[in-house]
Amino acid sequence: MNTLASLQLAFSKEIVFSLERTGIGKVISISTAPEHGWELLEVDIIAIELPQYPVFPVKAIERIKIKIIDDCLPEVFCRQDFPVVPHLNVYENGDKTLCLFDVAFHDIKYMFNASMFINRIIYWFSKTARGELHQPDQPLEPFFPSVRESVILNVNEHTNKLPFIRFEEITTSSGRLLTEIPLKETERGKLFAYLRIDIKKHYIDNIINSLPQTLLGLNDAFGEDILKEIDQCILPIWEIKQNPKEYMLLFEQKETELKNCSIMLLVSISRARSPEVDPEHLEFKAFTIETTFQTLYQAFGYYKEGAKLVKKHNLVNAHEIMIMQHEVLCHLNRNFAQVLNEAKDANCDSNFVQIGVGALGSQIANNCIRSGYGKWTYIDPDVVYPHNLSRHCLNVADIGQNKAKSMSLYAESIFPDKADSCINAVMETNILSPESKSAYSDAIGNAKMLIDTSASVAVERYVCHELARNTRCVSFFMNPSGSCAVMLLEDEGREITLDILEMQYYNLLKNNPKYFFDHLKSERRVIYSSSCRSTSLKYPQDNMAIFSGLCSKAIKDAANNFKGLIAIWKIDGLAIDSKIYSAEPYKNYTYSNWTIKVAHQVETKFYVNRKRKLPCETGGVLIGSYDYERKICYIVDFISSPEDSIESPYSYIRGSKGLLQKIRRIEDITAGNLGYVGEWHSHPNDSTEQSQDDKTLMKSIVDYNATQSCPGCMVIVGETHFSVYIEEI
Amino acid sequence: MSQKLTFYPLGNAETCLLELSNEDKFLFDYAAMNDGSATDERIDIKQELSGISEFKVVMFSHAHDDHTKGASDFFYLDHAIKYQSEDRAKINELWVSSAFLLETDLENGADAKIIRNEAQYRLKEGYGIKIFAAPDSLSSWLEAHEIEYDDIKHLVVHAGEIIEIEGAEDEVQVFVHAPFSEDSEEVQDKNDPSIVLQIRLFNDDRKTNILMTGDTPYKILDKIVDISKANGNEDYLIWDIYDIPHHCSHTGLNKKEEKDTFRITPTENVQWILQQAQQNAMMVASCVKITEETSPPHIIAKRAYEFYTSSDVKLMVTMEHTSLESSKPTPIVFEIDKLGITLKSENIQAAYLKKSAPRAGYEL
Repeated sequence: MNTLASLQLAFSKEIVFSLERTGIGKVISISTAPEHGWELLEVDIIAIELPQYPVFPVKAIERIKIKIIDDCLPEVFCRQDFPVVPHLNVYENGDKTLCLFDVAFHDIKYMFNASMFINRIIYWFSKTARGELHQPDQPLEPFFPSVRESVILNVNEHTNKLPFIRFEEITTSSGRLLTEIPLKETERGKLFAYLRIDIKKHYIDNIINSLPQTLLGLNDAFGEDILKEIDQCILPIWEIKQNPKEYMLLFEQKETELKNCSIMLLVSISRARSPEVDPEHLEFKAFTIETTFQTLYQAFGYYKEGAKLVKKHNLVNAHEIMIMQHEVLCHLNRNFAQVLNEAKDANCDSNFVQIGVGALGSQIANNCIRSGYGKWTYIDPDVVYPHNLSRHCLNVADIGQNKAKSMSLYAESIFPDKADSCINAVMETNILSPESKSAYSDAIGNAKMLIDTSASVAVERYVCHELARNTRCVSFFMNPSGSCAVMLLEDEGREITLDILEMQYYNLLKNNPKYFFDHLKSERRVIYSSSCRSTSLKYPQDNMAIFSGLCSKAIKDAANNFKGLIAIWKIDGLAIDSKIYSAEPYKNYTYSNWTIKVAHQVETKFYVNRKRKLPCETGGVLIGSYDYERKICYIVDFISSPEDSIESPYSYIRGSKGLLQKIRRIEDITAGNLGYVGEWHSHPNDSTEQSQDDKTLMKSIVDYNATQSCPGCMVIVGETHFSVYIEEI
Repeated sequence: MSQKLTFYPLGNAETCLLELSNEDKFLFDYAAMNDGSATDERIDIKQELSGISEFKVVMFSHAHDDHTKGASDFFYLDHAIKYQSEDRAKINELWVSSAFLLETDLENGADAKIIRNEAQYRLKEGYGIKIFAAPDSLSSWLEAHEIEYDDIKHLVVHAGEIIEIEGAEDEVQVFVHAPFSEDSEEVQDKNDPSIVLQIRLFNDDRKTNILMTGDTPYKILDKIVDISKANGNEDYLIWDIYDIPHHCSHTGLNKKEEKDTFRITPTENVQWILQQAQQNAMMVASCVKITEETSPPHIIAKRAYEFYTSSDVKLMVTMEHTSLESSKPTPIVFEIDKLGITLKSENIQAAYLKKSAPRAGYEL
């Protein structure tokens, strides 16, 4: 037989050639059907590496038939008496085909050739013989083979409700899709009587069963009497007539409509990997029964007597009632989204409050919504403008709408079931407006965390001081050029609050001038309307997308990290440089009506500098910031004694050499957020009382700072303690 | 847990490697038969085993060249400095019979003689050796070398005993069938006192048994069956892999009669051994391709092995085993695990890349 000459399809020839070349199989016969475009090769394939005690009895030589169609994955039929094993498709006519690949043909086409195909067949037999074809990390096989038709259901929504369901039909490129819509939307979709059967047995064989074509076939597929269960569902459907309101809604109280109603049967099957372990999940299969409700109930022996249905005989023709399988897809709910996103943790259902859903905020919100993470209150007074859409996750339909409100609608478009909403509330007012404070306070009090994405220092300070109370806060913002994103994360106990983290962040910029030299600089403003305040920053959406992913990840990670942190992420070409710092504590002091917050490391440095210069006094300039609104003075660092200072055992005269340049540099790199706040000096003993000279100095500081409309601050450091003085004119 | 058992294609010669899951390696015989010529299809065993620096056990079944050749070039031997370069493979424990230890009919420079010297050295030093059987001649030899039997008796193993492998007790057990002490005296044929073992491997609930036979003749096999039955040790003759004795010679089955032209009839006891094959068991003959002319291997013996075992039991010949694409013989490799034995198949790429490429270049 000149096998090659009689074949037309290139892949058929490749297979024959490969078998001849390698000797791992022998062509027994060929048949062709040019009119249908297929060729069939009957081949004896040598199954290698069969174990002495096989789990499934594979023969050393297996006769297979390979059906080849151009540009399709060839079907491989095994002998009809081959045992039913995992990854084997079993058809009603007894045909059995090997399930060779767990990916679509177009995904493997680039590496697909005859040798690879034949080796895969051999691999299939070899691994089947060992019972190892199904890998431990693979999902379990479907109970029935998959089909193109699908239904999308709210599977768990129907347990105790009316036995009806409404579907809207969508025609897709690969088949028909029935998607569930609310029952009450009577003007669209199609109504079905709805039966649900929960199969009691747990299936552990991981076998794909033959697809049933009739109700009897479906019954036979399971080892339990599901026809009896269907029988028990019939009268409850008829009983809709006893409920005038629902009967009117669904059928306009027309019995004919009820009788002609279509029927959808949902079967849930429990599958486990082995007898020792719990079932992994419920597998749902939907079947439309290809007849009307009336034909079905009559088949089950029910007939109408008066207003009632009365059972007169048993089911007689289940083998004639055709059924059609549909794959069941579940509407996305938060739980499913959490599973798909690996976002299940102790806080995935916690309440969160997010202030500001602008560009970064909306995209962080989007990431959290899509992963089903959290139940959210959004607060934002702004509306969406066209220029926002370049980096916002909302769309043109939202223009003119409030951002927070639109974000909640956006969330609903992903999780349409209101009972499963990820939105707790929306507040369209300005967080800084005092009249709404009580409303915010309740939401924040019930929240696991408050996320500030307002990109406003004023909001951050207000949240931190006025609203948060016991709720941990985190603030995310980008630098003006959009090249960096910053996270200020409070510790769980709120000992290190956002304002302190903000100061530490400025200090980090100050201490790393080479790395952060342009961190707060930008020339990238663009005016989007004629108003002088209508400016927006220019930077790529790419950066926004990258940073929003890091920020939403950090929110989830914060649940497992109780410490305060500062993160600065910087895009460097195609790489991201990440710098993570532990939050440093500050100590609070009060003087007059001021609170002075001093960095712990500054205190340490005070004592070190003092001791080093003993028996002389020493000193320097305090670097920090004032919050005039809340009367807080932050002392973040100090500049040590300039070299032209005069240090003696009883006095200290602070010099000035290089001082101005140093302060200018600090102001420059921190965009003026840190600067001169006062002076410090040491005393040779433990007394930190102001001497007469100190009082003179204090006056000088106060006078100078008054020109900046600031109070003056002085610190006197003794051997074991220090004192802070603040005075204002 | 799994193990690997490899039979190498060496012509009419034998080397078999057992690798445990803890990486312990047991070598049964060593025969470097490849002559280095391009046409020699026998595997270069020295090259094949070159990656192994130490064997837990090296057993020489008997003192013939086809079971010892080249051993003095490959192993690190303690008895003489000339065998102690670092590239040699060390032997943690050497297993030989008393007959081998006491063998005097060995040529100077022969590998068997060098191995015998190593065995004698280790026995005198009292370490790293097991001696199988204890004939009277062993006592004489010990006496001549002023060694007390009591001092070395823990190094002597008798037929009917079980050897536990330290550190691998849960994975392997060795039952000693032969040699018998009485067959180790005044040996006429060095094959007679071959070491015969059943190696039992444990994987979960599965026991896999390998019968290693050396070149044992049928009369010794007959005796093994009689004694095993008499002592209730039949279980130790069950096998999943049968190392066919003496390169598939008829001597492993019966005395050849004139009538035995197509198939030799094994002795009753040897037939009984063959019936101890488990489901889908394998027989391996370490020999050349079997034809009507080869002697050994004898085709009448091959037919007998196939006839007296059930149809699911397969016979493999080391020099007939080729990977799918290579014409040269490749080692027969079994993986042994909870599903019993699985004959491994070398893939195309491995087969291609493990041999030299054809010569390239423009030749004038």
